[in-house]
Amino acid sequence: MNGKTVSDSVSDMKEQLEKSEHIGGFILAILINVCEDGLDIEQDSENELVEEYIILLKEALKSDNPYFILMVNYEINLCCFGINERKLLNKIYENYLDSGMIYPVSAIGLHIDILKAFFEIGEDETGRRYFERLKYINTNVFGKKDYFFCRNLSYVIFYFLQEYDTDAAIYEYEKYINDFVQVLRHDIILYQMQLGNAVILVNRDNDPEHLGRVLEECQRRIDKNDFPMSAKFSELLCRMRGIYYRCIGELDQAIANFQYVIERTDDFSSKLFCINQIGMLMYHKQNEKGLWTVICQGMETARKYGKWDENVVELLNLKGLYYFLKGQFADAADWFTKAKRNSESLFGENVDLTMKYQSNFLLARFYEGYIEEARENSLKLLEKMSSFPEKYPEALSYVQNNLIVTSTENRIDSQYCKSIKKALDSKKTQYDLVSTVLLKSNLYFSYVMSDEDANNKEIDILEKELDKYFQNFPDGDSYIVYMKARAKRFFSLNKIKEGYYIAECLNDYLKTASPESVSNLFNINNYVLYIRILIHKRQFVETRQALLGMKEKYIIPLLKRMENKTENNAETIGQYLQLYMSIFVSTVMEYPEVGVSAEELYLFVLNYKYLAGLFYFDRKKFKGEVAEWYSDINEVSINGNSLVLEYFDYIRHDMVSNLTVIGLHYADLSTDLSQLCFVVYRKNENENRNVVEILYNRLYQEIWDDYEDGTCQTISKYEIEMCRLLRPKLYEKDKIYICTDSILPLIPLGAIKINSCTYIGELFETIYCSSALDIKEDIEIFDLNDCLFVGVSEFGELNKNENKRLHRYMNSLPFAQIEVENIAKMTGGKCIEGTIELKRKLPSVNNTVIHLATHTMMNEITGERNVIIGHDWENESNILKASDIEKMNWNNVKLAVLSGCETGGEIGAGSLRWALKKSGVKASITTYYEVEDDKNMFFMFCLYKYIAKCKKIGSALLMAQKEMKNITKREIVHQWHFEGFDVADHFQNFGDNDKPFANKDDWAVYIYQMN
Amino acid sequence: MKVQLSEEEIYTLAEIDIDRLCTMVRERALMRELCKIEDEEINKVRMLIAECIDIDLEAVENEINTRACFHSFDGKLIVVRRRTFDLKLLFQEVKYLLELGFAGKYESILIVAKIILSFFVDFLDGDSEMIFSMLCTRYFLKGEAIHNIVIFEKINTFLKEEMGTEWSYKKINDVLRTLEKASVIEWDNGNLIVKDKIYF
Repeated sequence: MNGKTVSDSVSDMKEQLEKSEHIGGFILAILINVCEDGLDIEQDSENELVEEYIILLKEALKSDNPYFILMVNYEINLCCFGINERKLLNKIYENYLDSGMIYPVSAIGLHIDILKAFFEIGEDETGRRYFERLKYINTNVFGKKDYFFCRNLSYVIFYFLQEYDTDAAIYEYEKYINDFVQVLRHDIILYQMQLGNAVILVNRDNDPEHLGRVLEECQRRIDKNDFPMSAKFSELLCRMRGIYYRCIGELDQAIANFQYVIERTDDFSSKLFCINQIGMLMYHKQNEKGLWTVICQGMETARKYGKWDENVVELLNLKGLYYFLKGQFADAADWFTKAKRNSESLFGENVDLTMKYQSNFLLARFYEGYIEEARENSLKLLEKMSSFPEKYPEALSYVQNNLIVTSTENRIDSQYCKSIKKALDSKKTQYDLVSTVLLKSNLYFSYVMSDEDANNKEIDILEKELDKYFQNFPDGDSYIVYMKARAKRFFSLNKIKEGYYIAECLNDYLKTASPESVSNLFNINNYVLYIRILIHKRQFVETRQALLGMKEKYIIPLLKRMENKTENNAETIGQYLQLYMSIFVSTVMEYPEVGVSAEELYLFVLNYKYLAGLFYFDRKKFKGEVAEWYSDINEVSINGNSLVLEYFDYIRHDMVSNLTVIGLHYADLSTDLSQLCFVVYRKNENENRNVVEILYNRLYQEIWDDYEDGTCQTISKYEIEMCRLLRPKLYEKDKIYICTDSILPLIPLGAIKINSCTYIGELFETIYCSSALDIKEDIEIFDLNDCLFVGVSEFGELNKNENKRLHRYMNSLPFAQIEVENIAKMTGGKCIEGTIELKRKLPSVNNTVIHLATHTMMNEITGERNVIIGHDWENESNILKASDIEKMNWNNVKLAVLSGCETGGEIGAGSLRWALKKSGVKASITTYYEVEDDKNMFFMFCLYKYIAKCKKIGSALLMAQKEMKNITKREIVHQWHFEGFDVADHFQNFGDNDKPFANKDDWAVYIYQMN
Repeated sequence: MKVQLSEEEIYTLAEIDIDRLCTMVRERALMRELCKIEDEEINKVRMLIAECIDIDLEAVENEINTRACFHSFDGKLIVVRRRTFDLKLLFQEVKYLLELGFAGKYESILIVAKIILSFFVDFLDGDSEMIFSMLCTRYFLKGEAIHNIVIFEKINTFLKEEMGTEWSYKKINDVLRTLEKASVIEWDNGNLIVKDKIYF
């Protein structure tokens, strides 16, 4: 204290005390002024300050008795400043008590008020000193076993210590409890204090039985009529019983007790507290109707109450929970926002209650489909709370739990167990089964899922606790989570019969429970469970209905939720869609008995692929067609000469093994990623109906293994297998459509050998598109003179920038310039050099064909591919990113040719093929692999020669590929002429009959994509 | 070809989006440990990552005829031959920081180090990741080569503290096999050795 006295320190706090909400604080502030001015309340009673002080004391003590006022004044002085005038004090007590007065409760009330003021301004130590001195006075004046001593101390314990200093409350309680029981047996304060103490112990030890024991003792005394029963105490007792029963999960008993208080109390605040408690229990029981009735009752009570406090705010939250239960998440989010705003204005932004409502709001947003936004904001909320986790015992556990459960559909492992355990530990009221049942169920679920052979004590204890709870209340989200894990545990222990019994109980529950809440789009496990049960019971007709019903129930609603979202914000919904589709395909493929034909399966996949594609490429059409579903296979417009290969990538889920029935394990891409390939064709030219067959359904790992089996010289198992499957279908066909929009086939179809020296690419037109619904007639180009050719050949020296050691290096491409100049000359198109101006002009280019011959550059970090359009490529203006191309308005451009390395080697966001499709270009020609500068020039020259001749892109590509593969040096030298370039000289190392481009890498790597 | 690379050069050649990685470190630390990583600590993370990455470059011929681009370093065209992450160095750095009395300030560094592992050993699932980070901490930080007789017990004691439950022996065995198969641990006379460096 640096020599500072208590008096100094009290004087320093005067300013803070003046602002105190407690009258005790204000009185103390004036008393300090009185002391500082050296005034005496008896001698200077005319002084304004003294007068004000006395008036305030009279008001606080509700008495005009001068002896009483004087006595309390001296008590305050003694407690604050430690002035020891014991004789004087004794005299004052004698005067007062001898006049026949008893020590009034209002005096101890004022002391409590002063103590609260000290603690609320952070002067805990001064407050404690004040309390010790007050106890000292009482001991001296009354003696320890005296009624007034016991009563006064009990008041301080109950009204002050139990709220502000729980350790001291327990200490004082335990020290004097025997005296209290003897002296205060007929006084209500004893029982209030006992109940309050029990609540503290319950929180400290996480054991509700502390409260149970006190309640039992009270009941015992009531039964013996040895109890000071009053209406007010009866209410308190019932409220406490309600809380106790809630903690141990006896919901009906809890409701009955709260109901008792509601019916009898006149105190609106108490009534609202109990209404909210019942509301919360109704929510946990998933009782929509009951919850609504309680909310209405609460609203009516709040109207009469006419004030805003935490109970009224909680009512708004309850209303949110009601809509949440009904599956009306937008309404729920509105009400949670209202609760949050009111809590903010009443208690502040960074308090537990406000954070809890914000967490509820975010969960509602998550289920509404704003998944990314909800997760991001939940993380922000968690970050806010992480600095003072102890300040948020409720909200912290909610946010942690929400973050975990909203991401466990795919991945369940020990990291989640750990996080849920932390969430549970952070909750101070772990004993409260109702408020922790979801956390505990999730923890149990994670334990079971993370170890299939788990058979240990901790899981048994948790299981026992939850089992007891759910036997009484088999309801709610936590029940669903628990039952899934319970069944899984039985399966893990090889108790198949018991496992299915539990699974069926849950399934029955899901059928009867509130449909909106349990069949939520994002609770994919419920759907999996349903399918598994049907299969187990061999109810294949119902399984078929359930699978085909997925369209109306899940796929279309999820697609609709994407309507107004940005691409980034729709990512998670996309993952859910993919997950549903994966379950659909996995089940159909595992169980032919279900009777979903190849055609039905194909239509499902086709519609999904098409609609998902529209979301990215034609939002307007997407909104218009999202509910439309093509149901006729003949909608795929092919003729007898065409063959369609439709690829679909999915995660194979084990729908057979008992061990993986419940819950989706995290997908291991190396083992579960699969490709399903359909073939669609007409058996002969005259037939007017398309036929669909499954060409293959294989794990990617198998496909990759087969591919790696081959070398440059030998044909791989993959190619052999593709040929074996395709050959019977290719009879009388001349065109193959390859429909893929996710992972590209390992090699271009055209580069697959059909026999030792013939490739598919020299026999058939190969056309790529996203789905078979994108197939159109071959695109024709009549006005080749309306082409724009851009070629860049020089890209600067190695290490141009001396300040940087690590560079990108692009070698010169002398043939790029020759390519564009000669093709432009042949077609009559316009040839320009890449300049800084070009990037500015490109968005509005309106030519029939845009041809860019140059380097491409991959951004390894973002995965985005860029096209270099000017010499000085370190200048941003000379880099045309995929994201730049996406924004072009190239709706009038029929063909874009990207004549560089790997311009079509990737697919999906960030790739050039994707970007070109988004720009509106009707078709594109890109490259699958790297291409050599000179050979690429020859190929492009050949391609345009045939476009000019036959007008059709697909036909021209086939002819160009054929010619390139077979042309000899002699033919090249005689037939092909290029300005500024000596062909004969270029091929001087080749013999006349050598075929310089026979290698498939020189002609089979070009992709014609129809958009 | 061994060369001294700058932090920026390392990230470029390792194809690491360091900002994204730091964001993920922040998120995981927050979600798993309720640990808020401050900007100062994130800078430490960046430094740690760069120090622990080793990139082996190979010079290639200048005569290239394709329309693809390359990296050049000090006038030579290069390709990345091998990229390794030095676990031993990572934990040595952590130990050094803790011994220097940074424990208070950089208390979260150990948490971060454990999270970083998962980015470089990305073939591990959450279970093996958790056990691997525990083994790394014991091995590199405390110099403890756990013997196979006690490893089940040690892992279960750890799990009890971390998540309040234990695993079956089969599960622990499966996880250890996964780590062995991934070539990040090995046994020497029954003692568990964590490999100093991992390829990524």
